[in-house]
Amino acid sequence: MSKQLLTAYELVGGYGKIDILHGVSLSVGVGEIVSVIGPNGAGKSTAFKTIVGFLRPRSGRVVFNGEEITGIRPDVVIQRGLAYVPQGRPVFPQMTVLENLEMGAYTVGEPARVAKALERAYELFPILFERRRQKAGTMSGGEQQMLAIGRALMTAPRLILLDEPSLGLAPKFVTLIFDKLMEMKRAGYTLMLVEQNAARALAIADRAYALELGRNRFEGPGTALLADPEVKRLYLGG
Amino acid sequence: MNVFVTPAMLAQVVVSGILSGALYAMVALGLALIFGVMRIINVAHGPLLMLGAYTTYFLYSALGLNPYLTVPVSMLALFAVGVLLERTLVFRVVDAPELSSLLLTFGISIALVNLAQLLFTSDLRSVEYLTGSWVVGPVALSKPRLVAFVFAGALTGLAFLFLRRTKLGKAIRATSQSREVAMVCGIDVQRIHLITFGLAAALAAAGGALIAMIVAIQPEMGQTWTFKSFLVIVLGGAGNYPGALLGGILLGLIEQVASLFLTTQLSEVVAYVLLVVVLLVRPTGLLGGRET
Repeated sequence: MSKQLLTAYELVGGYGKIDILHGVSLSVGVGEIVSVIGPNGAGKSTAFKTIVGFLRPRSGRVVFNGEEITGIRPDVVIQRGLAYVPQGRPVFPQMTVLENLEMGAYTVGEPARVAKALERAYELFPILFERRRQKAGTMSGGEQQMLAIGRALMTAPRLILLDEPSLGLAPKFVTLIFDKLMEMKRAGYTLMLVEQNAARALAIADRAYALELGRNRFEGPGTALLADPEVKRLYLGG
Repeated sequence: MNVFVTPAMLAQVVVSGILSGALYAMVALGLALIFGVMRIINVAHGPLLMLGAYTTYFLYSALGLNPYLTVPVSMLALFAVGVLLERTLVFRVVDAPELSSLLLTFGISIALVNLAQLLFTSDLRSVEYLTGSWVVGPVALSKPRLVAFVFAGALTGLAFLFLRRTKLGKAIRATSQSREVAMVCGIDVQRIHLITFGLAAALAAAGGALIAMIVAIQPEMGQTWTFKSFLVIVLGGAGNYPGALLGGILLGLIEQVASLFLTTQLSEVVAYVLLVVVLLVRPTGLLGGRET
């Protein structure tokens, strides 16, 4: 078993007085891709928002890289090396692609490190280099998603959490995004993603979790879950 | 109703309109920033301008400072006041329903005006430093208005340079485009709110300091500026910063042109009617959309 990078223990919480999570536990080891699947309302996105600090858990703990980060704000968590790509089109629409990437390096002081990070982002997503002077809001959904992922790379994070990276994208971009996630894994990044596209998410995952109504339901290697008849019936539509 | 309009008269109102429009634009940019970043309509924006005017008045009358040198001092002082207001009161309503922030800033507005009446009395004050006009061809350029125009243009230019070129300025624009994404980039959004509110108050103060040399200073001078700034950002498109420039100049021109045809009382009404019409016909502003 690889070294644990992130562990979330028994998270309970949600929005205001309404609990969505009733005890979700997740962990990620160095170098892994971990997928979290589950139907709407299962608490996938809520779990991520709680881990990165947008929501404060009512109980439970989050430990990242050996340090407790429970309830610490997202703008602080990123400086510890935990990046987060929110759901939707998480870019600054009125800024250029280059400006978006530079904002991703907001917490990085030295210009040399920013330049290096920019190079890495362009290497992974050459389209971002071509479009660097274009306003982010004028790009297609898939390109905006690539920009959001590229921006998350700018701090050279130890772990990247992605909330529904393929949501609402055209089929060719869905394939492209999943290919890019594999490419990132090969390049040494550690990823955890929430996906409604369960089959694809399981196919690329080293390990996966299936949530149901705010609790862990299944857990195991991605391929094992993919082959499990119960998982198939409940999460993969037959 | 005046039906005889000569080209000279038209030239005069266009020039006067642009001169006062630049002031509107600068002051309204402050309101636009607060709205863009914090989603709050700051009803106390005009009263902050009034405090800026008094700061200039007292520095001039008590210390004999050149009133143009008081502009940066007023801006700094009101930056501090803005930061203080945000830290103690306004931050509580950032995510609250609109009514909460409107009521709070309305309350601050009333409190500031009454405090000014208590401390400074309602006596009219003035800073008579530059008077008279320069005459260029058929057009008379009021000296204090022309200098105010130059100051307002320069300060607005600096504000845009700050927003476009500096790291902090970009963080402010980023926050107004998406607070969530700003946070995941590591931007301390609370700090951005604090700075934005201070900056907006400083822009209002600059307006106050400059018009202190043009009109009478009194505690209630600010409220119409809240309204006019609101109109400017509605014209230019709420949350659209360059739009505030266009809206400001447009309002200046409309007011001046209206004064050509209507009595003073009626031309004041034009701005209000315009607000209603724009909100009905094109609620996203003339430029529409968001451009920060």
